[in-house]
Amino acid sequence: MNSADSQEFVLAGRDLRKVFHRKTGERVDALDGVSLDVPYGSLTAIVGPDGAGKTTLLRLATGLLRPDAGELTVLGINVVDNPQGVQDRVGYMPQRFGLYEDLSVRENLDLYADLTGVTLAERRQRYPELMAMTALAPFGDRLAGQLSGGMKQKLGLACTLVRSPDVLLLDEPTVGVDPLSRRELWEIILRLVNEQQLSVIVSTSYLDEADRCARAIVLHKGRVLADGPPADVRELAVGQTFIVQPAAQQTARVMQAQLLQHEGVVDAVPEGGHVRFVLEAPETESELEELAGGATVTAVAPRFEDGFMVLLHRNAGARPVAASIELAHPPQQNGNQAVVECHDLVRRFGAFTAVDHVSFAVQRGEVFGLLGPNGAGKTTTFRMLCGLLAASGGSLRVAGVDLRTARASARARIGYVAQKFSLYGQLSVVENLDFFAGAYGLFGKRRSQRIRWAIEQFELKELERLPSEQLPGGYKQRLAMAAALMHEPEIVFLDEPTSGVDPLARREFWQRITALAEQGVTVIVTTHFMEEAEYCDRVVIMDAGRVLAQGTPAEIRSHARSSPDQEPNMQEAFIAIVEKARQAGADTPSTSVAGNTLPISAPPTWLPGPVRRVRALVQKEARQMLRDASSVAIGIVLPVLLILVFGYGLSLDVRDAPVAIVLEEQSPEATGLAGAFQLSSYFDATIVKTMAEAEQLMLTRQVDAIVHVRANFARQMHLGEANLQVLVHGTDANRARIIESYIRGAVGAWGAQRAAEGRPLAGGPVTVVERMWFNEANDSRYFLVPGLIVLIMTLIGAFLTALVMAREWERGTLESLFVTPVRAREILLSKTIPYFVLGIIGLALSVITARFLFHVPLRGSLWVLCAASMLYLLVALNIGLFISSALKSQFVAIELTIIVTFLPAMMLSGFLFDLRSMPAAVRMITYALPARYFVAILQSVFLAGNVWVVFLPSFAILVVMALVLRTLARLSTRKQLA
Amino acid sequence: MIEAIRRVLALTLKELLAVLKDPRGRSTLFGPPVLQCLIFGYAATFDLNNVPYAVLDQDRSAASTELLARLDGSPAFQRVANLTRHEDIKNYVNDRSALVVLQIGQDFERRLLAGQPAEVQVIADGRNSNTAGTALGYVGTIVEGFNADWRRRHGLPAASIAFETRAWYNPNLITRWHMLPALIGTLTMLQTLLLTAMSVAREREEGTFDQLLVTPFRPVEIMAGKAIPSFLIGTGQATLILLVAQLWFRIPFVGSFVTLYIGLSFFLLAAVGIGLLVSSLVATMQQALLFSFVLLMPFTLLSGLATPLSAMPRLLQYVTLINPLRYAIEIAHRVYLEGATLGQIAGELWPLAIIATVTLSLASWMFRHRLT
Repeated sequence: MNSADSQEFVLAGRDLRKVFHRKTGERVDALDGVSLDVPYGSLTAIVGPDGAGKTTLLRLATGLLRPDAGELTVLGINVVDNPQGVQDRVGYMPQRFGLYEDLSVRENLDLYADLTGVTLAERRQRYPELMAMTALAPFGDRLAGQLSGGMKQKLGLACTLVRSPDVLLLDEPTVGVDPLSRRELWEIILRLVNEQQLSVIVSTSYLDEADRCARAIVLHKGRVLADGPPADVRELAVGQTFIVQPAAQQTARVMQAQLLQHEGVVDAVPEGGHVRFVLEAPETESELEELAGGATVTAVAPRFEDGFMVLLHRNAGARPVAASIELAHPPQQNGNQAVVECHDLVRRFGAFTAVDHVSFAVQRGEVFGLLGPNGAGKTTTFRMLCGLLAASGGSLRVAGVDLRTARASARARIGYVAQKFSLYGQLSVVENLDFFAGAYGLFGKRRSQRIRWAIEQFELKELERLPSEQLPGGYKQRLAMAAALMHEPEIVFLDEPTSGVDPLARREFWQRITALAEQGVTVIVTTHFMEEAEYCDRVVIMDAGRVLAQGTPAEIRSHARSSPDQEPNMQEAFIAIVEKARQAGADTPSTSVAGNTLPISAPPTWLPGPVRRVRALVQKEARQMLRDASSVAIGIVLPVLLILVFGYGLSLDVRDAPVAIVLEEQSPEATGLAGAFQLSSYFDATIVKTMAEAEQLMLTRQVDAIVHVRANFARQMHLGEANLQVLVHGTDANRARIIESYIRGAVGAWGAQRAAEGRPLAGGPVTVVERMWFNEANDSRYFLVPGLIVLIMTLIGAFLTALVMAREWERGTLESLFVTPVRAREILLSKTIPYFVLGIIGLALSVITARFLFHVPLRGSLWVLCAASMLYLLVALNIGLFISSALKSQFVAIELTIIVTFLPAMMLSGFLFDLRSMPAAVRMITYALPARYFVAILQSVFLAGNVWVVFLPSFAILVVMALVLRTLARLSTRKQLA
Repeated sequence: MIEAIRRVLALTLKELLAVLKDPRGRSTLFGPPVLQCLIFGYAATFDLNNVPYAVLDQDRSAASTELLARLDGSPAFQRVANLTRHEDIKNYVNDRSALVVLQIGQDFERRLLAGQPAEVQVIADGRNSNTAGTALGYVGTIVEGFNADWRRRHGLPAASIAFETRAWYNPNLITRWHMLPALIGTLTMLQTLLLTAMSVAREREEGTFDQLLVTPFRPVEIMAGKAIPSFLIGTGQATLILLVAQLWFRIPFVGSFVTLYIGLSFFLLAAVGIGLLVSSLVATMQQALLFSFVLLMPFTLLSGLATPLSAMPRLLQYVTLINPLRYAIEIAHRVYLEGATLGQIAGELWPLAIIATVTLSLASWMFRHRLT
């Protein structure tokens, strides 16, 4: 490819290949020789079923992944050579936008505006637009984590669109977004393309969206099937697309199922009470009539979707199969009674009313649809019906009971598929099924029967050993359904089951649903694909917690009919109903009007880019830290607790050691000796008569040692051969040794006193004069309290940071952050600063308490102490960041951090145990541990003074360690997905 | 009832499967405890050897040489320097080249031969006063040996009071004998508490908890299904540590395994109860991790593992009454080293039973009242 080519195209790829390997060893060709050229200023759609390679292609284009082969330029920049160059200029919205759930809507938006350098003027223009699109303004102060699924998606979009990039890459931006917002989103995109000549590439599974684009690229299994104007794809179905009116007694659903039985039918979907179907090739009229069973067939103009189905069928042999499901024990059908009923159902969250007097009833065997914009209260209603959430008011009945209060066994009558895939990711397909079978109390033969049934019915055989998190999207959804049907429930709740699922899988899914309903299972479902409402027997449309309309799809459509001759489709009807209600009740619901803009604060544009970005990230990090009670617990509460425990509680000193003195004689010598023990502050002496008594005391741990004065003590003493028997309780060896030496000391002191009084006692001849330097009082607090600073610095430094990078990896917040002008080193720096500050607070706290509460002397320079502590803090911070970014998992990171920082700081630093007495191998390890050098500095600076011979080498090593670890942390934080 | 048992069994199997299937989970379960055992076993010792000492021998007599030879002959001491000037003492102590410095005055031998008491000054680096104290004790013992010999050789009467010392349960007073049995409780508690607290938090974070709640599981069954796997894994870890103590460090086990395991199961119930209580209070895995840690730190420090309980102020000793680890360590010591019987550890068992009952019932109450 010559350079002229790449100048011409916003994105140009040649023969791109990317291979992934599943954990089970299979090879997946995500991209298998893809070449494409996308001109500037165009709107291009990438469409294709699951596993087509859409996401991989966009990730290659943003530099988040590197291609295995091929060449890719974006904006004329080779992405492999200069990913940052691309990331500075593109706007990218990943499938799951990495919102910070503990930041508010406004804080998330401001963060991305700050990171991408949006000026105040731009903000003034852009914010109101974004708020109009997303209707998020009233929720500006709400934490992102408390938004509904669709609202989160919208906020992600707003964060992406806040800047004006040179090219916009959107990966399925409208998944889970309601039709109204989708329409507004597309208006913004079209305006950007038309007015600003922005180049936009969007991957989507809504095929009607492809029709709006100038260009559509159809991908399938890593290959390009079509690349050109959408009309080219539409063309493929010309003369092959028809509409048929089902017979009076037949529903569109049943008709559709019949049509799909035929080999020649590539697609069939219910639409406005009719069935739309697409044939493989043009057919004669007679054949058509035979196909339709005598019903009236009308040829219609094809849509993109129709052409897409033909294309898939021709190239890959793919067509919606006549998927079905057969229940072994269908629920008994005794008449048409309501199995789910709710009356005036209300749910409030604080001042916010999520569900506002909702009433409806669902008959047995019905497919009942719950439709509504994001945040309408659909999921909340579901959760109340399933007993996951208590209602604030009203009544509800599911299968005759309120599941919230009914016996747990009543829940066996319902099945529930949550909005988000929520089975066990690490467990395989079979293990998941096995667990849910067990959860519903199935066992023995029936259990294995049901598992076999599920695997057969949902065609999971070939993937049954795969961990469920690695399943392709459509299969995940099948597995979730299978798990919810293990126990053959009467009622199934499905919350947005087809969100993010490709068109083929969606058709298959709905066939299974209709099959279930035919067999008497009641199905309650929410969806954002309005055409899917056509599958339902009845639907309810909700907005702002209220029911707006209720009835059969035909009745709903008729609500919105503007003229008698024009029948609106479901989507048009939905939008009309919601808009009408919103206009009428503009003053009532809490979601509308309340203020349609967010306050805009002036960004610090005078700062240079890197500083501005770091500032924004530090602000974000600090907010997260302060909002999270657990960081405060580790950063403040734990240090204070440790200081108190160390200062007041821990001591290795022996005071008042309980000792038994066995006096077998009452001579003045014996009682004198016993008196010496009784007077000493080191002992708490109990005098007994016999050894047996004393041993009993020691056995029950009432004394730690026995001093045995035998019956002939006085006589032997005068002979110069007295023997004292000393027994110590050896379980705590250190204490035992101290007590033993105190006993010797006490006896020695008594002897010396007698000698001074002129009574003969041959001591010596050599006497030891002991002097303990630096700690004359022999107070163990003097070394425990400085050691505490090591623990606290380690705790704050390594512990909290070990979580921060891993948390971002786990929550997927980095993908969006990476495709901004932010550099990896800026991310690292911004994670260091807040924890460094927290560490300094901890340091100040410990030094002040050590000095003034526990009166540990500080004999060296305070500056040395501070400098050493900051240096060690930096080392610890970088260990945490390195572990965290290398491991990408919070649990493993924390385990490793305990092992490499906390335990060594406690055990191998010389703070408690003498390093020189350890075996050579262990001693070698200690040289690699930063804590060792910090302890050396601390003990000297507190107790010995400014001992530069100790300080200088230790400082030098800590500096080297900090630099090396910083480099490692930097290298392990690459702006790439694994 | 039988249904409930089946459900609990299904959950238990799922939990075990999830932990054991994950290679990282597997390695964190059994790798770290063994590693920590080895580190603690080798490093956490108050026993000294290779203590560097310097000597300022101003006497340079046969007597002083003999005394120093005794120090050099002991494995605990290693001479690093012969000083000539008094000022050198400061340097050697300050830069940590010597932990102990002996100063022998120039009239040392003369006084000895004259039958007068002779002094040896022993200076110890008190920056770690515990180590210094131990080293001073060692010097004292060596000097005593020298005295006895000297008196015998010079026909002086023996010291009027001689000591025969014996230590029960740990005849050579080895710190490791104290440390390793204590680890059976300490390390097991760390893992059990974390594992339990995390397993519920993980389900909450991944959304699988809702899926569990719409099945016929009752809250108490979910709790049981979470508690049993942690209990089993805890027992496995305790066994592993017990094996390291016996097979690698060869610390003789004098008690009864049945008694030990009965004691451990009471302890594990209490630990699991605390884990469940934490998990019922937190929303995310991160909170579970950090809160468990905030609990584990004081539990470990105030357990008698590193510093004796009896050396703590009275008030704090009362606080330790609610610390399950305190009882676990006591049980491990008493059964492992002292051969205590079930009756003798009853005083530790009933507080554990109370802790377990209180935490488990609180956790189950929280479970039922926090299903939002």
